[in-house]
Amino acid sequence: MTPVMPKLSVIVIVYNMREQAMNTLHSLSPAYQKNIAADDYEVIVVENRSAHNLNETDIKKTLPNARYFLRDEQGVSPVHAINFAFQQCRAPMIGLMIDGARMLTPRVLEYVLMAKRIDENALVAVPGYNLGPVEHQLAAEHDYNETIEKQQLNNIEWQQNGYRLFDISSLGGANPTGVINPLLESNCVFASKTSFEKIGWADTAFTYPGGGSLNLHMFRSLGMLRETNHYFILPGEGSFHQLHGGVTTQDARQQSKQDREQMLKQFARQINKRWGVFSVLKREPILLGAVTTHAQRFLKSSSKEATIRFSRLDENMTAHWIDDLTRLKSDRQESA
Amino acid sequence: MAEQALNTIYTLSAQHQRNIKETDYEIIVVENRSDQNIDTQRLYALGNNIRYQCREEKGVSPAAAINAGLEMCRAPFVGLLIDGARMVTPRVIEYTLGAQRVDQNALVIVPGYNLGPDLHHLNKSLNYNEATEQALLNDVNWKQDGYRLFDIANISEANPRGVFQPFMECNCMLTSKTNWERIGGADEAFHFPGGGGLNLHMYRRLGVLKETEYFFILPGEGSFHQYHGGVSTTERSDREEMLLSPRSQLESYWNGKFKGLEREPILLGAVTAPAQKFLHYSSERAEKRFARKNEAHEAFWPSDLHHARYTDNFL
Repeated sequence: MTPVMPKLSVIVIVYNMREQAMNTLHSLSPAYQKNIAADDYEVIVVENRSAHNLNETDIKKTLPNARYFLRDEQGVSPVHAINFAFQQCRAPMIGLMIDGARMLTPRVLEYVLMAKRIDENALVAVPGYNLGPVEHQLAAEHDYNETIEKQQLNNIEWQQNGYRLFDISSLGGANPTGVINPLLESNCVFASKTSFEKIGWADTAFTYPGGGSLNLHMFRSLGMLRETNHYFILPGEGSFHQLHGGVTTQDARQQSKQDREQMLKQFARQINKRWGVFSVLKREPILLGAVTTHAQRFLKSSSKEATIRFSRLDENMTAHWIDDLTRLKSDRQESA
Repeated sequence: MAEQALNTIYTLSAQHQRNIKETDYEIIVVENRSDQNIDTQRLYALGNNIRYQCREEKGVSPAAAINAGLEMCRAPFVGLLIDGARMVTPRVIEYTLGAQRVDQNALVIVPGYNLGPDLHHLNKSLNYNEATEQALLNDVNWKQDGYRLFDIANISEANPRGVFQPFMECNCMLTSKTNWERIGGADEAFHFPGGGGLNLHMYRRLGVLKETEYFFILPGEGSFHQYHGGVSTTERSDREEMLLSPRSQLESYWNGKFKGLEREPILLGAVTAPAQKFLHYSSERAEKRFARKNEAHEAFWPSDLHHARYTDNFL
């Protein structure tokens, strides 16, 4: 039984990652997410058909508040799946997880609803981590693989305490210097339905594998909206990438370094064309949420990295959060 | 503390507080008459949302003045600064209203700092006085950027290990008016100078109320004590002895088991460059505390166990 009017819709896009996606969905379940009721939210699972599809009955067992859609996709980008998912969302606040292989910690949804109470147009970013010691495209070089990952996940009994995911993880490529430095993107990002509508949902021009730079584009677009007055980061929560054959994170053995670089160049060209020169979102984050023992080492390093960045910017007489000033300026111009 | 109090009220005014309108809040100033009362002309010039009462007080405790202040409050959310010598950073009010939107009975606490190089009760040994403090304040141009106060401050005795360790008290705490009523306001039995253990008592009582499900700390904000010859913040040889009686009074309320409030804080707010060193230090100290608790198989936040919300009490 799905709720009549959830407060929050969470979109999970899935393609060819059955086991990882089931972990992700478990981490979104009412049994795992704390201080939130099943009726408060819905999870929209949209899968592009592959040889390893999810089983709807299994999903319902884990996530009674999920709605599952299996669709055929001829292209290689998730962009149409995302837009299809947007159409299914009934809540005024939407979370987008473009990659179904990302598990969450237990209070992401609680804090998102808190942020929404503070500002219905809040933007909430969950920092990204990789399970294992390195970025996943380097996994093979470090003898890290799915078997080891599975073993480590079993060892920490993550279903009992999801914060232990921090114990077996490293910082993600989108936020390599932590949570108080600008994030390149967030693979678990929340904003109002109105905000997603204002940025034109997912731009269907992003047709490259995995969407190319689509997620970066959407993150910056949301962050620069006039209505996005509150930009929150959850310093004690995380979205944890599991090893699978993702487009930018797949094992180097399956993709030559040259091919990967070539692909990333294409992605960069497309996004730079959109923005002139694309830049990460430099807005001062409002921290929200508790920081457990497991996440403290990352907060400590984030703070250290922030101090290094602030000193560098001070030396160059550069604003710490230039996009806050840009927004303020355009606000004033529009008001005038 | 007329000058210090005017600094404090300036920091609370809409001239200094950001992202908030003067009409969103009121500042209630209650003064026990002394030979150095606040210059009311200068006070009212700081904003149109200031209400002032000067009262006669025969005792030496601020308890009755606090109750007079609570009675004057018209808003559903009330912040208490028991010591008028505490300047605050520019987004305390904004974040407090954010927390109030999350939960009308939230408890919000602002970490404490002392202006200057060390604790104020060591002032004589450090040759620290009002003049040296004034020079420091001038140096950082705090009226332009209130976060620069972090650059000339040290961490307070109430929270010496940072924001992830239990606080003994908080000199800038905000919660619902209903919560203040629930704890019966300020207990006037706390008759010692400065209220003795009154602030510690109220802080813990607010924190353990079952209605206080949400316990927020503002990691990037602060309340900064200015040196002013306060009761427990001036160097004197009999300080320990002087604090003994208030301590026993406090212990008598808590059956000899008074301690800091051990609740997991929900962080709220940005952390500017000047405050990063304290966040880093807090995180370092948190790791040590958690490691110690882990070894002893003790819950991290035992005061949370009486509340319904899930918190991180796992080993």
